[in-house]
Amino acid sequence: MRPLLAAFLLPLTAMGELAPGERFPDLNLPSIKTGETVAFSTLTGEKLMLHLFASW
Amino acid sequence: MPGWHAKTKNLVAEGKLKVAGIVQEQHPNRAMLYMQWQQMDWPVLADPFNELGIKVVPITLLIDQHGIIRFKNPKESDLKEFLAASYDHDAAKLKTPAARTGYSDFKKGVTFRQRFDSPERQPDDFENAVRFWEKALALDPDQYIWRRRIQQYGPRLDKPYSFYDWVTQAREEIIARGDIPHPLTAEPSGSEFARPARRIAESAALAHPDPNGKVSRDLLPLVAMHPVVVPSTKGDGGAVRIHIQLTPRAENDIHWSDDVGPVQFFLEPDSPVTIHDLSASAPAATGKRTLEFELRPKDGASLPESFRGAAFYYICEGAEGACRFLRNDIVISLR
Repeated sequence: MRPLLAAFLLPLTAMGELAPGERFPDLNLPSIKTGETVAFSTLTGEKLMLHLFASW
Repeated sequence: MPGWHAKTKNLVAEGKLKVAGIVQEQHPNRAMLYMQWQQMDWPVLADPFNELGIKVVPITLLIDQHGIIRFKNPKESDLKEFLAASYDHDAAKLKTPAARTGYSDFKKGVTFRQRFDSPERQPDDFENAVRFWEKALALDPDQYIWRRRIQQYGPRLDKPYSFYDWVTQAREEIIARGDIPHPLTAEPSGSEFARPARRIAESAALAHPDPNGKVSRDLLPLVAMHPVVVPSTKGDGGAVRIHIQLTPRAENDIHWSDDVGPVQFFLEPDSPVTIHDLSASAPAATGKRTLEFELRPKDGASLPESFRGAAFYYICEGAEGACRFLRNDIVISLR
Protein backbone atom coordinates (compact mmCIF):
# COMPACT_ATOMS: atom_id res chain seq x y z
CA MET A 1 0.00 0.00 0.00
CA ARG A 2 3.04 2.33 0.17
CA PRO A 3 2.48 4.12 -3.18
CA LEU A 4 -1.10 4.90 -2.21
CA LEU A 5 0.05 6.98 0.74
CA ALA A 6 1.24 9.74 -1.58
CA ALA A 7 -2.32 10.48 -2.63
CA PHE A 8 -3.33 11.26 0.91
CA LEU A 9 -0.42 13.56 1.69
CA LEU A 10 -1.01 16.19 -0.99
CA PRO A 11 -2.92 19.37 -0.11
CA LEU A 12 -6.62 19.50 -0.96
CA THR A 13 -6.47 23.03 -2.27
CA ALA A 14 -6.17 24.69 -5.67
CA MET A 15 -3.59 27.34 -6.38
CA GLY A 16 -6.00 29.78 -7.98
CA GLU A 17 -6.83 30.66 -11.54
CA LEU A 18 -3.25 31.58 -12.46
CA ALA A 19 -4.31 35.06 -13.48
CA PRO A 20 -1.94 37.91 -14.38
CA GLY A 21 -0.78 39.67 -11.22
CA GLU A 22 -0.69 36.46 -9.16
CA ARG A 23 2.48 34.84 -8.01
CA PHE A 24 2.94 31.41 -9.59
CA PRO A 25 2.85 28.79 -6.80
CA ASP A 26 6.21 27.41 -5.76
CA LEU A 27 5.33 23.75 -6.14
CA ASN A 28 7.84 20.96 -5.78
CA LEU A 29 7.35 18.62 -8.74
CA PRO A 30 9.44 15.86 -10.35
CA SER A 31 11.38 16.51 -13.53
CA ILE A 32 10.14 14.28 -16.37
CA LYS A 33 13.77 13.81 -17.44
CA THR A 34 15.44 12.82 -14.17
CA GLY A 35 12.54 12.16 -11.79
CA GLU A 36 14.23 14.43 -9.24
CA THR A 37 11.98 16.83 -7.37
CA VAL A 38 12.46 20.41 -8.48
CA ALA A 39 11.19 23.53 -6.73
CA PHE A 40 9.43 25.70 -9.29
CA SER A 41 11.25 28.73 -7.87
CA THR A 42 14.51 27.39 -9.29
CA LEU A 43 13.09 27.93 -12.80
CA THR A 44 12.40 31.61 -12.17
CA GLY A 45 14.90 34.44 -11.66
CA GLU A 46 14.72 35.21 -15.37
CA LYS A 47 11.79 36.01 -17.61
CA LEU A 48 10.01 32.73 -18.23
CA MET A 49 7.53 31.34 -20.75
CA LEU A 50 5.75 28.46 -19.02
CA HIS A 51 3.67 25.92 -20.95
CA LEU A 52 1.07 23.93 -19.00
CA PHE A 53 0.27 21.06 -21.32
CA ALA A 54 -0.30 17.38 -22.01
CA SER A 55 1.18 15.40 -24.88
CA TRP A 56 -2.34 14.43 -25.92
CA MET B 1 3.39 24.69 -28.15
CA PRO B 2 5.75 23.61 -30.98
CA GLY B 3 4.76 26.93 -32.60
CA TRP B 4 5.95 28.89 -29.56
CA HIS B 5 9.09 26.75 -29.45
CA ALA B 6 10.04 27.83 -32.99
CA LYS B 7 9.27 31.48 -32.22
CA THR B 8 11.26 31.58 -28.97
CA LYS B 9 14.30 29.44 -29.85
CA ASN B 10 16.47 32.46 -30.71
CA LEU B 11 15.33 34.40 -27.64
CA VAL B 12 16.35 31.46 -25.45
CA ALA B 13 19.73 31.16 -27.22
CA GLU B 14 20.31 34.90 -26.66
CA GLY B 15 19.50 34.55 -22.96
CA LYS B 16 16.48 36.86 -23.14
CA LEU B 17 13.89 34.25 -22.20
CA LYS B 18 13.72 30.93 -20.41
CA VAL B 19 11.12 28.29 -21.40
CA ALA B 20 9.77 25.50 -19.19
CA GLY B 21 6.71 23.29 -18.94
CA ILE B 22 4.50 21.45 -16.50
CA VAL B 23 2.75 18.41 -17.90
CA GLN B 24 -0.71 17.37 -16.75
CA GLU B 25 -1.01 13.71 -17.62
CA GLN B 26 -1.06 10.33 -15.95
CA HIS B 27 2.16 9.10 -17.60
CA PRO B 28 4.71 11.95 -17.66
CA ASN B 29 7.29 9.88 -19.56
CA ARG B 30 4.98 10.00 -22.58
CA ALA B 31 5.54 13.75 -22.50
CA MET B 32 9.27 13.01 -22.40
CA LEU B 33 8.91 11.01 -25.64
CA TYR B 34 6.88 13.88 -27.12
CA MET B 35 9.58 16.40 -26.17
CA GLN B 36 12.27 14.16 -27.71
CA TRP B 37 10.21 13.81 -30.92
CA GLN B 38 9.62 17.55 -31.20
CA GLN B 39 13.27 18.24 -30.28
CA MET B 40 12.26 20.52 -27.45
CA ASP B 41 14.82 20.35 -24.66
CA TRP B 42 13.59 22.82 -22.07
CA PRO B 43 12.88 21.62 -18.52
CA VAL B 44 9.49 20.00 -17.89
CA LEU B 45 8.01 19.08 -14.52
CA ALA B 46 5.27 16.48 -14.01
CA ASP B 47 1.99 17.19 -12.24
CA PRO B 48 -0.03 13.97 -12.63
CA PHE B 49 -2.01 14.78 -9.47
CA ASN B 50 -3.12 18.14 -10.85
CA GLU B 51 -1.69 19.95 -7.82
CA LEU B 52 -1.84 23.17 -9.82
CA GLY B 53 -5.62 22.89 -9.90
CA ILE B 54 -5.98 24.04 -13.50
CA LYS B 55 -8.99 22.63 -15.32
CA VAL B 56 -7.83 22.76 -18.93
CA VAL B 57 -4.67 22.61 -21.01
CA PRO B 58 -2.88 24.03 -22.87
CA ILE B 59 -2.15 27.27 -21.02
CA THR B 60 0.89 29.44 -21.68
CA LEU B 61 2.05 31.94 -19.08
CA LEU B 62 4.65 34.70 -19.15
CA ILE B 63 6.19 34.93 -15.68
CA ASP B 64 8.57 37.69 -14.67
CA GLN B 65 11.88 37.25 -12.87
CA HIS B 66 10.12 37.55 -9.50
CA GLY B 67 7.73 34.66 -10.22
CA ILE B 68 4.71 36.84 -10.99
CA ILE B 69 2.38 35.97 -13.86
CA ARG B 70 2.23 38.86 -16.34
CA PHE B 71 0.38 37.35 -19.31
CA LYS B 72 -1.86 34.32 -19.74
CA ASN B 73 -2.14 32.75 -23.22
CA PRO B 74 -0.17 35.62 -24.74
CA LYS B 75 -0.12 36.87 -28.30
CA GLU B 76 3.22 37.61 -29.98
CA SER B 77 2.76 41.31 -29.22
CA ASP B 78 2.35 40.44 -25.51
CA LEU B 79 5.66 38.60 -25.59
CA LYS B 80 7.37 41.68 -27.04
CA GLU B 81 5.84 43.88 -24.32
CA PHE B 82 6.85 41.35 -21.65
CA LEU B 83 10.45 41.25 -22.83
CA ALA B 84 10.69 45.04 -22.99
CA ALA B 85 9.13 45.69 -19.57
CA SER B 86 10.96 45.98 -16.27
CA TYR B 87 8.85 44.61 -13.44
CA ASP B 88 8.81 45.65 -9.80
CA HIS B 89 8.91 42.90 -7.23
CA ASP B 90 6.05 43.99 -4.98
CA ALA B 91 3.23 43.79 -7.52
CA ALA B 92 2.13 40.26 -6.65
CA LYS B 93 -1.16 39.31 -5.09
CA LEU B 94 -0.75 36.32 -2.83
CA LYS B 95 -3.83 34.18 -3.22
CA THR B 96 -5.09 31.90 -0.52
CA PRO B 97 -5.47 28.43 -1.99
CA ALA B 98 -9.13 27.43 -2.32
CA ALA B 99 -10.61 24.09 -1.22
CA ARG B 100 -11.23 21.71 -4.11
CA THR B 101 -14.32 19.58 -4.41
CA GLY B 102 -13.57 16.05 -5.50
CA TYR B 103 -9.80 16.46 -5.45
CA SER B 104 -9.11 13.74 -2.89
CA ASP B 105 -11.00 11.27 -5.10
CA PHE B 106 -9.08 12.36 -8.20
CA LYS B 107 -5.76 11.87 -6.39
CA LYS B 108 -6.77 8.41 -5.24
CA GLY B 109 -7.65 7.52 -8.83
CA VAL B 110 -4.24 8.71 -10.06
CA THR B 111 -2.48 6.70 -7.38
CA PHE B 112 -4.41 3.50 -8.08
CA ARG B 113 -3.61 3.81 -11.79
CA GLN B 114 0.06 4.50 -10.97
CA ARG B 115 0.21 1.30 -8.97
CA PHE B 116 -1.59 -0.55 -11.77
CA ASP B 117 1.23 0.50 -14.10
CA SER B 118 3.90 -0.63 -11.63
CA PRO B 119 5.24 -4.09 -10.71
CA GLU B 120 3.16 -3.81 -7.50
CA ARG B 121 -0.11 -3.96 -9.45
CA GLN B 122 -3.13 -5.28 -7.56
CA PRO B 123 -6.05 -6.81 -9.51
CA ASP B 124 -8.53 -4.06 -8.59
CA ASP B 125 -6.22 -1.06 -9.09
CA PHE B 126 -7.49 0.01 -12.51
CA GLU B 127 -11.13 -0.43 -11.54
CA ASN B 128 -10.55 1.61 -8.36
CA ALA B 129 -8.86 4.34 -10.43
CA VAL B 130 -11.84 4.63 -12.78
CA ARG B 131 -14.37 4.60 -9.93
CA PHE B 132 -12.52 7.39 -8.02
CA TRP B 133 -12.13 9.47 -11.18
CA GLU B 134 -15.85 9.10 -11.89
CA LYS B 135 -16.64 10.20 -8.34
CA ALA B 136 -14.35 13.22 -8.63
CA LEU B 137 -15.78 14.28 -11.98
CA ALA B 138 -19.36 14.01 -10.69
CA LEU B 139 -18.39 16.58 -8.03
CA ASP B 140 -16.66 18.93 -10.50
CA PRO B 141 -17.92 18.29 -14.05
CA ASP B 142 -16.04 21.33 -15.41
CA GLN B 143 -12.68 19.77 -14.54
CA TYR B 144 -11.44 18.77 -17.98
CA ILE B 145 -8.05 17.50 -16.81
CA TRP B 146 -9.95 14.97 -14.68
CA ARG B 147 -12.45 14.20 -17.46
CA ARG B 148 -9.64 13.41 -19.88
CA ARG B 149 -8.23 10.83 -17.43
CA ILE B 150 -11.42 8.75 -17.88
CA GLN B 151 -11.84 9.48 -21.59
CA GLN B 152 -8.29 8.24 -22.16
CA TYR B 153 -9.53 4.71 -21.40
CA GLY B 154 -13.16 5.13 -22.45
CA PRO B 155 -15.30 4.58 -25.55
CA ARG B 156 -14.67 6.31 -28.86
CA LEU B 157 -17.97 8.21 -28.72
CA ASP B 158 -16.64 10.09 -25.70
CA LYS B 159 -13.21 10.98 -27.02
CA PRO B 160 -12.38 14.53 -28.09
CA TYR B 161 -9.39 13.17 -30.04
CA SER B 162 -7.00 10.25 -30.10
CA PHE B 163 -4.83 10.59 -27.01
CA TYR B 164 -1.66 8.87 -28.19
CA ASP B 165 -1.88 8.24 -31.93
CA TRP B 166 1.33 10.28 -32.32
CA VAL B 167 3.46 7.72 -30.43
CA THR B 168 4.10 5.38 -33.40
CA GLN B 169 5.10 8.22 -35.72
CA ALA B 170 7.25 9.79 -33.02
CA ARG B 171 9.20 6.57 -32.48
CA GLU B 172 9.71 6.05 -36.22
CA GLU B 173 11.03 9.58 -36.71
CA ILE B 174 13.29 9.43 -33.65
CA ILE B 175 14.79 6.12 -34.87
CA ALA B 176 15.21 7.59 -38.38
CA ARG B 177 17.27 10.40 -36.79
CA GLY B 178 19.54 7.73 -35.30
CA ASP B 179 18.28 8.17 -31.72
CA ILE B 180 16.70 5.72 -29.30
CA PRO B 181 13.11 6.65 -28.38
CA HIS B 182 12.57 7.43 -24.71
CA PRO B 183 11.12 4.28 -23.08
CA LEU B 184 7.57 4.30 -21.69
CA THR B 185 6.67 2.65 -18.39
CA ALA B 186 3.19 1.85 -19.73
CA GLU B 187 2.54 1.34 -23.42
CA PRO B 188 -0.64 3.09 -24.61
CA SER B 189 -3.50 0.62 -25.02
CA GLY B 190 -6.13 0.39 -27.76
CA SER B 191 -8.44 2.96 -26.20
CA GLU B 192 -5.57 5.43 -25.91
CA PHE B 193 -4.80 5.12 -29.63
CA ALA B 194 -8.46 5.05 -30.74
CA ARG B 195 -9.88 8.04 -32.56
CA PRO B 196 -13.32 9.46 -31.87
CA ALA B 197 -15.96 7.73 -33.99
CA ARG B 198 -19.71 7.48 -34.00
CA ARG B 199 -19.70 4.52 -36.36
CA ILE B 200 -17.07 1.80 -36.13
CA ALA B 201 -17.09 -1.58 -37.73
CA GLU B 202 -18.06 -4.52 -35.60
CA SER B 203 -15.08 -6.75 -34.89
CA ALA B 204 -14.87 -9.53 -37.44
CA ALA B 205 -17.53 -12.10 -36.69
CA LEU B 206 -15.36 -15.18 -36.36
CA ALA B 207 -17.13 -18.45 -35.89
CA HIS B 208 -17.71 -19.13 -32.19
CA PRO B 209 -15.14 -21.79 -31.22
CA ASP B 210 -17.52 -23.55 -28.84
CA PRO B 211 -21.19 -23.08 -29.79
CA ASN B 212 -22.17 -26.29 -27.98
CA GLY B 213 -20.17 -25.61 -24.82
CA LYS B 214 -17.86 -28.62 -25.17
CA VAL B 215 -14.50 -26.90 -24.58
CA SER B 216 -13.17 -27.52 -21.05
CA ARG B 217 -13.86 -24.71 -18.60
CA ASP B 218 -10.99 -23.12 -16.69
CA LEU B 219 -12.71 -23.71 -13.37
CA LEU B 220 -9.74 -23.28 -10.98
CA PRO B 221 -9.10 -20.86 -12.72
CA LEU B 222 -5.59 -21.13 -14.08
CA VAL B 223 -6.14 -17.69 -15.54
CA ALA B 224 -8.06 -15.14 -13.45
CA MET B 225 -10.03 -12.47 -15.31
CA HIS B 226 -10.55 -8.96 -13.91
CA PRO B 227 -12.82 -6.76 -16.03
CA VAL B 228 -12.84 -2.96 -15.84
CA VAL B 229 -15.74 -1.08 -17.41
CA VAL B 230 -14.96 2.48 -18.50
CA PRO B 231 -18.17 4.37 -19.29
CA SER B 232 -18.69 7.50 -21.34
CA THR B 233 -18.26 10.64 -19.22
CA LYS B 234 -21.37 11.98 -20.96
CA GLY B 235 -23.42 9.39 -19.10
CA ASP B 236 -25.34 8.64 -22.29
CA GLY B 237 -25.10 4.86 -21.99
CA GLY B 238 -24.26 4.59 -25.67
CA ALA B 239 -21.07 2.60 -25.33
CA VAL B 240 -18.50 1.44 -22.82
CA ARG B 241 -14.93 0.32 -23.11
CA ILE B 242 -14.09 -3.01 -21.50
CA HIS B 243 -10.57 -3.82 -20.33
CA ILE B 244 -10.03 -7.39 -19.07
CA GLN B 245 -6.80 -8.36 -17.32
CA LEU B 246 -5.93 -12.03 -17.59
CA THR B 247 -3.61 -13.11 -14.81
CA PRO B 248 -2.08 -16.62 -14.88
CA ARG B 249 -2.01 -18.40 -11.53
CA ALA B 250 1.58 -18.09 -10.28
CA GLU B 251 1.60 -21.43 -8.41
CA ASN B 252 0.94 -23.38 -11.62
CA ASP B 253 3.87 -21.98 -13.64
CA ILE B 254 1.59 -21.10 -16.54
CA HIS B 255 2.82 -19.91 -19.89
CA TRP B 256 0.74 -18.83 -22.83
CA SER B 257 0.85 -20.64 -26.13
CA ASP B 258 -0.24 -18.86 -29.28
CA ASP B 259 -0.10 -22.04 -31.40
CA VAL B 260 -3.84 -21.86 -32.05
CA GLY B 261 -3.97 -18.07 -32.12
CA PRO B 262 -4.01 -15.34 -29.45
CA VAL B 263 -6.47 -15.02 -26.59
CA GLN B 264 -9.97 -14.55 -28.00
CA PHE B 265 -13.22 -13.26 -26.58
CA PHE B 266 -16.72 -14.10 -27.74
CA LEU B 267 -20.13 -12.91 -26.64
CA GLU B 268 -22.76 -15.53 -25.96
CA PRO B 269 -25.01 -16.18 -28.99
CA ASP B 270 -27.87 -13.65 -29.46
CA SER B 271 -26.19 -11.13 -27.18
CA PRO B 272 -27.92 -7.70 -27.04
CA VAL B 273 -24.53 -6.02 -27.53
CA THR B 274 -21.85 -5.96 -30.20
CA ILE B 275 -18.07 -5.94 -29.88
CA HIS B 276 -15.85 -3.42 -31.66
CA ASP B 277 -12.09 -2.74 -31.64
CA LEU B 278 -11.26 -6.09 -30.04
CA SER B 279 -7.56 -6.33 -29.31
CA ALA B 280 -5.44 -8.63 -27.18
CA SER B 281 -2.04 -7.70 -25.85
CA ALA B 282 0.61 -10.38 -26.19
CA PRO B 283 3.77 -8.93 -24.69
CA ALA B 284 5.40 -12.17 -23.55
CA ALA B 285 4.82 -15.87 -23.14
CA THR B 286 4.37 -15.48 -19.40
CA GLY B 287 2.70 -12.86 -17.24
CA LYS B 288 -0.46 -10.85 -17.58
CA ARG B 289 -2.31 -10.23 -20.80
CA THR B 290 -5.17 -7.90 -21.53
CA LEU B 291 -8.22 -7.97 -23.74
CA GLU B 292 -9.78 -4.70 -24.70
CA PHE B 293 -12.87 -3.84 -26.71
CA GLU B 294 -15.72 -1.41 -27.07
CA LEU B 295 -19.23 -2.60 -26.35
CA ARG B 296 -22.27 -1.05 -27.99
CA PRO B 297 -25.96 -1.97 -27.78
CA LYS B 298 -27.65 -3.46 -30.83
CA ASP B 299 -30.06 -1.35 -32.89
CA GLY B 300 -29.91 1.87 -30.87
CA ALA B 301 -31.15 0.18 -27.69
CA SER B 302 -29.68 0.93 -24.26
CA LEU B 303 -26.86 -1.10 -22.86
CA PRO B 304 -28.09 -4.02 -20.72
CA GLU B 305 -27.29 -4.27 -17.00
CA SER B 306 -24.78 -7.03 -17.75
CA PHE B 307 -23.57 -9.22 -20.54
CA ARG B 308 -22.10 -12.67 -20.86
CA GLY B 309 -19.07 -13.73 -22.79
CA ALA B 310 -16.14 -16.11 -22.71
CA ALA B 311 -12.41 -15.89 -23.22
CA PHE B 312 -10.61 -18.73 -25.00
CA TYR B 313 -6.91 -19.36 -24.58
CA TYR B 314 -4.26 -21.99 -25.01
CA ILE B 315 -2.01 -22.34 -21.96
CA CYS B 316 0.63 -24.75 -20.72
CA GLU B 317 1.59 -25.72 -17.16
CA GLY B 318 5.33 -25.99 -16.37
CA ALA B 319 8.18 -26.41 -18.82
CA GLU B 320 7.15 -29.96 -19.79
CA GLY B 321 3.55 -29.75 -18.68
CA ALA B 322 0.41 -30.31 -20.66
CA CYS B 323 -1.01 -27.57 -22.87
CA ARG B 324 -4.74 -27.06 -22.96
CA PHE B 325 -7.27 -24.99 -24.87
CA LEU B 326 -9.62 -23.60 -22.24
CA ARG B 327 -12.77 -21.54 -21.99
CA ASN B 328 -13.34 -19.03 -19.19
CA ASP B 329 -16.94 -17.74 -18.89
CA ILE B 330 -17.61 -14.32 -17.43
CA VAL B 331 -20.60 -12.10 -16.65
CA ILE B 332 -19.68 -8.41 -16.66
CA SER B 333 -21.92 -5.90 -14.93
CA LEU B 334 -22.38 -2.60 -16.75
CA ARG B 335 -24.09 -0.81 -13.84
